[in-house]
Amino acid sequence: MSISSLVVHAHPDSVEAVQKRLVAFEGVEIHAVSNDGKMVVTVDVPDERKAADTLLEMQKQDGILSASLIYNHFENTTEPSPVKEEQVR
Amino acid sequence: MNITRRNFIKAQAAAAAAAAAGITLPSIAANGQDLVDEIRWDKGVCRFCGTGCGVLVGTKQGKVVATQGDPDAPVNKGLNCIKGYFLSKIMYGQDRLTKPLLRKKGGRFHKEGEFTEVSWDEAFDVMASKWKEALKKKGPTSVGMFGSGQWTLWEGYAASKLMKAGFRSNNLDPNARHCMASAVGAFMRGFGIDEPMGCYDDLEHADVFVLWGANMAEMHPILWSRMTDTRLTKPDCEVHVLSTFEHRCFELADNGMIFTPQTDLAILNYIANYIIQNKAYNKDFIDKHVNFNATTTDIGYGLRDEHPLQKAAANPNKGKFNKISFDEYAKMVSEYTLEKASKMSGVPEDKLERLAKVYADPKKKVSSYWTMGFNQHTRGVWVNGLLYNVHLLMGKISEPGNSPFSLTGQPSACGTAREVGTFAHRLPADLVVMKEAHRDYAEKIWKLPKGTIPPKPGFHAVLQHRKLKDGVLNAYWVQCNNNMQAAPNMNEEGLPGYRNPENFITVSDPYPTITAIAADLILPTSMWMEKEGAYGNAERRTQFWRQQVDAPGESQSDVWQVMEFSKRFKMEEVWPEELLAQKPEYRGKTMYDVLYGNGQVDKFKADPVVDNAGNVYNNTESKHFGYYVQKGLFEEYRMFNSVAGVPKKGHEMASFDEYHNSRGLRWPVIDGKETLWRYREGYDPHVEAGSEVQFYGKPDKRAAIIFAPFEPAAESPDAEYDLWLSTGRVLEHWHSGSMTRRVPELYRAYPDAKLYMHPEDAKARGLKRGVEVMVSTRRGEVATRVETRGRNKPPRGLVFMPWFDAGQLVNKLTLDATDPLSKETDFKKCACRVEKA
Repeated sequence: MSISSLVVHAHPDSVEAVQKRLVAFEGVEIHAVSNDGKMVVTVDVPDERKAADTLLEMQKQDGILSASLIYNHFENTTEPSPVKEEQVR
Repeated sequence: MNITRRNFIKAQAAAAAAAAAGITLPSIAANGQDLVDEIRWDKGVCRFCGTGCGVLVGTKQGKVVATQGDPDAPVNKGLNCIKGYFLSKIMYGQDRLTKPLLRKKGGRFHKEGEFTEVSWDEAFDVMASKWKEALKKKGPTSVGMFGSGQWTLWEGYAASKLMKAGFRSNNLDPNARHCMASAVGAFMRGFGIDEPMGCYDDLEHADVFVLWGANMAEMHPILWSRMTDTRLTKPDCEVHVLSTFEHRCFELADNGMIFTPQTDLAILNYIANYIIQNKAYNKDFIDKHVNFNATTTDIGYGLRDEHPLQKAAANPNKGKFNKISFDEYAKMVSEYTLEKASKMSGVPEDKLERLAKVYADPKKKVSSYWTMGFNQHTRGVWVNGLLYNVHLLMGKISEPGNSPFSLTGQPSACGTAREVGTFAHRLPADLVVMKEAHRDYAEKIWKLPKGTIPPKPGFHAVLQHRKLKDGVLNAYWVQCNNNMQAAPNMNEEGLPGYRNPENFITVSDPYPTITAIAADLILPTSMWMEKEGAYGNAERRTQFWRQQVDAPGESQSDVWQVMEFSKRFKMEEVWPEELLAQKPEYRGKTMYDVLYGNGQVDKFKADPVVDNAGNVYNNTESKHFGYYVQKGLFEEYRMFNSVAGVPKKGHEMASFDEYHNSRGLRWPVIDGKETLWRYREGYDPHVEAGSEVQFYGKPDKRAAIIFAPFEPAAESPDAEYDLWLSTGRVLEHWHSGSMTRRVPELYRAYPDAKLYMHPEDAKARGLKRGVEVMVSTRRGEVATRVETRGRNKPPRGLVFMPWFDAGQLVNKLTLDATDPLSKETDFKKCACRVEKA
């Protein structure tokens, strides 16, 4: 289980559109929206991998000026390290 | 999972976000604290960029399991960027090194051998014998070290002592040379003291923000979010963005400008010209606080001396500047008209004029930010200086909101590389090896005989690779960075240097990086929260943390390695007889005794480290050496900046214990109080009453406006190599990716580098998005894939490729042309060709 929260700052012209895009993600809730386009968002998904992918995908949405992570709580981790390096010799 | 607990955690998460955003939420259950697991939280500092965000580090059963933005940290006020979110994972990559590895064949060291696990004793025995052999054959200039703006303060300080005092070699340079050296050069020329006069508070005070070659949205997301806040909440606030390609900052830009590479020099001179033509300059400020100069021109490109471009230069590497009058200065900039600047840069006239007007408007507070677009530039010192010229002409400097601000890429490029002075020409607190009085002072503090520190600057970063290749530098130690991947022109300089049979290369790293596997000996190294640390960020803030967890296997910290290695040398093996004759009591002693067992570094007892809540923390180094290592090193360092009679005032720092109890303090710290804006009365206690402003780093207390003209890039596109190649970073990865690529989520988010290209340029070459291509320059070729959409949108004629990917080494392509003054490489401009693979 993984629960995290973010402050998402939407461009004032696209607040509504951004809200729609965000809640389309699984486990995403918007708790509050300020006048200047700031949103309090939580992501509640079964595992951390899903959480991370959601967070990273959200960052790329149009109309979002910045998305800052605030808090996360997770249980069970471990996933193999994926790095591959070019041969230099 | 218990639904109450789950809801409670979610409510807590939302409350934390609401607090950080300044939004009120309906109140949540207050008594759920016991529902959350036993995690010990302590303050720390982010491991990545130079912003210096405070993070709370959560530890459970000897492992860091979580981090969160520290709500009490003034820098980030509880926010974290996406990389910061994954901080807890950087120490736990599966291929973490846990034992020293030496290349061996037939049971002994062999340059072409296979990496084999060895003991620390065997590792240091072989390494020390190689260093002794080099010293004996060629003397101190044949040994060297390459350090880091990611070193903690005491790691850099201990290394500086080891090299400059112990081995008597100035061949110590940090990777910050690739990153900040041009900024340093301009600070020293313009103001006589390094680092910005303003601070992050300017992000709330300014009316106008101008980004010059800085993609803050991706590289400094927290500062960007502070700027975004101001832009969207302050009436009439504007953001101007200049870059050689369109990036995410343009989404917020009121005036976005794409300019032809290198023409920032012309644009800045045009703005100065505009200010003068319109008589907008602050005459009172100029008369009292500024003098005018012109720099030597036609200075070459910091290449090898035999390179045709060096030979063609009239004044290669010359930095001298001479006093001129205001009228002479006005005449020099007068050729940079709006029409000319627009024509050279490709930026429409109305946009340039709009930019010039905000600088020239005395009522608008302007903050300018820059990073590698300015610094990685063959005229990097000049271009930094040209921006100061604009701010100085208007007197828009050293006060809230009026701030030319050089951003930093590494967590302690300011703290360790610059303030501690781990550059080839520097000593702590802005002192330099070239000045006898500065050497004398360092020798006095370090209890060394006169003449110990050599007066000639050592080899800088790029020169170190050239000297390794040439077999002049033979025993070499790299700590805390991945320079084989980071340095330019890897094929022609870096790799042949490391693999030169005359050389013995040691690399200390937590992971088997490209640099490590190109070495002869790899030392497993503790990282981040596995040691007590301190970083200095871009706004002069010094921040400390405690050791939270122990390092895996036999890993040891850089400072442990430096101090332990020094035990293997008798003074007779490193100093000549004339020095020992001055200090006969050092005969028969080891370097360790003289440098660290000197009654200063070993002065403080190794008491248990305890926080205010009573939690007790380990300190591996203190346990090993028997005294409080970090405190001793820091307090000795403070003798360079915070005691009576230091050669250069203005770098004062608080005591070791005060930093452990604060969320960082911005130097100069005087009577326990930090300084937010330097050089201005009322903010900076060093400024004398009644003088308004004093640039006290200079003898006449005046800042230097230094004219410099446009000069072309070292390599521009031509018929054969027809595109500009610019390299840089992306949001998900930090620098060479040695940490972030080991975080599975970040790796997945951006697994491989790609080449950002204009769709028309792709079409003209018969390429489609996603297709495999070969990028080639005069120095090498790299296979990658084309990206014609996405976050970066280059104009026609330019391609951008990030350098984090160890599977696609873009520095096989780059040219090792440097700023002749700062010796910093221009990673943003060389000529390439792109073809279907």
